[in-house]
Amino acid sequence: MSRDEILREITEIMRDVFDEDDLEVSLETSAEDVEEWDSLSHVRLIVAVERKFGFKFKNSEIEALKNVGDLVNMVATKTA
Amino acid sequence: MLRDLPWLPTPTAAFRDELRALQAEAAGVRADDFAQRVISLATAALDEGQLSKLAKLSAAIAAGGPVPGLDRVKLGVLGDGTLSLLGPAIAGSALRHGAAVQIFESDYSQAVQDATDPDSALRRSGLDMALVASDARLLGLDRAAVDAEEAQARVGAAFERIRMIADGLGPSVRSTVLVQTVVAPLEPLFGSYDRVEPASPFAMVEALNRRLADWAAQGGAVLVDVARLASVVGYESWDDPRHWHASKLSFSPEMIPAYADVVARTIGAVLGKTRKCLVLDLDNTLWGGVIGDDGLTGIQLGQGSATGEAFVAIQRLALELRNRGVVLAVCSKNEEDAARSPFREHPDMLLTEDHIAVFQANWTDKAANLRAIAEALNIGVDALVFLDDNPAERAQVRREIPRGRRPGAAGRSGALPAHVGLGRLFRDGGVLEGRP
Repeated sequence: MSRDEILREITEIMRDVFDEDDLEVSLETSAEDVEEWDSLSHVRLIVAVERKFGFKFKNSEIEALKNVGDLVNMVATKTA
Repeated sequence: MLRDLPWLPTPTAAFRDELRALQAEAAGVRADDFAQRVISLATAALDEGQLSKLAKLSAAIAAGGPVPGLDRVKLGVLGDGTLSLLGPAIAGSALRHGAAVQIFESDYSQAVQDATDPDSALRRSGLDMALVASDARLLGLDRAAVDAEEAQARVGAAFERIRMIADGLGPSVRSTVLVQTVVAPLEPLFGSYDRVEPASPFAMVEALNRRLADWAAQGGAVLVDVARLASVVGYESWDDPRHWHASKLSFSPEMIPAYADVVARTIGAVLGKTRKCLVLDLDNTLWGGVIGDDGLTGIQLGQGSATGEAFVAIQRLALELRNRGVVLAVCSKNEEDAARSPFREHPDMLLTEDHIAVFQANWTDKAANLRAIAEALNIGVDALVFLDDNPAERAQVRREIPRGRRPGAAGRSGALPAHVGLGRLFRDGGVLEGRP
């Protein structure tokens, strides 16, 4: 799966988790840009991403995520 | 797998659209079938995210005026670790069990203070019920004690802490305080010796759960047996240290839907929303084969074949339920004489005609027969559980009986999962819908 495709999938997941159909997501998007993105919805987001792509993050990997771009890269590495 | 809620239908693709429509209705003019559509939307194998969205609808209903068909419940949630993911899932699941729940959550690690201070915001919020959720790691039961004496003291302290929370809340809770059993740590400390050594974390948690059960037996609280749930899904699946270390979530978020349904089912049972009658199909449900075609000697029942034994097991389960007060009825497309003959003459039948309160064997459709059974017993159709191997019959019942008022319908009876689901259905008053 290409990074563009992964970003599209993650955008859909984020729109669902944060309950915002019009949410615009780029590689630079971070928790500061999305009002609904707090520590709880972050857990929901991680669980939804794990379910969608069929792998599990390590805690150190979750902690290293700074923005959506990092998440896309992580998914790309894990699913390669 | 239990974690996937296999007795519930797959969620509709239009889940979010239907939810939005219901949310708009909840705030304004509600159609007559509002409650039925809410229950129907919730009666699916929803994931944690979907349940949390339903929770908003549930809270709006609970905070508003009465809605026929849904009991409004203000539920306090107190205890150990991060509860914020659990409350919404419970509220979403409770709609499935006829309750619109509004969650009042205790602040992180403030359970004892919130419960014992009569002026705490939690106690002043007019709670109907409360749930006390505990974690072995925060009760100090995840590390071995020095000896049996210290183990006993630690178990005692853990029990007193839970009881202090429950008893403290008592005066401010209109109905019932629900108390969870505690899940033992996954990793054995002394291997199989854990069960022998009273100072092991496993043995201490077991001892605590025993005390909680004894307390519940005396009427101190209503137990929600989370430890049993964890053992059924498997500790390895239940436990997820990543989320404990990251956010003090007690167990894997993937288990939240199964957990929330157990809690919600208990809430439904406390509200008296229990199933009262098990309606049994006959051919390929109580025995293998078709009595009208195969005759008394041709049907499969009893020892000699795995299939025959499975049907005996189904009958034994039905009898167990009857011994616990569940009424049994028969609903079968058959000639009446043929239908009754195994009850009268087959040597391996455990069920006899005396066990069956209403016997409907005819060629009328099943929905009409279920209505007749409910009428004869003077209970609602929604107090029935319908066990039938034939998906077409279950679908017909779903079509004919309005959504939200349907009897629970279990799937094929010869298989073990149906046993598990059926037992659970009656044990906690749950709603069972076989996948079509």
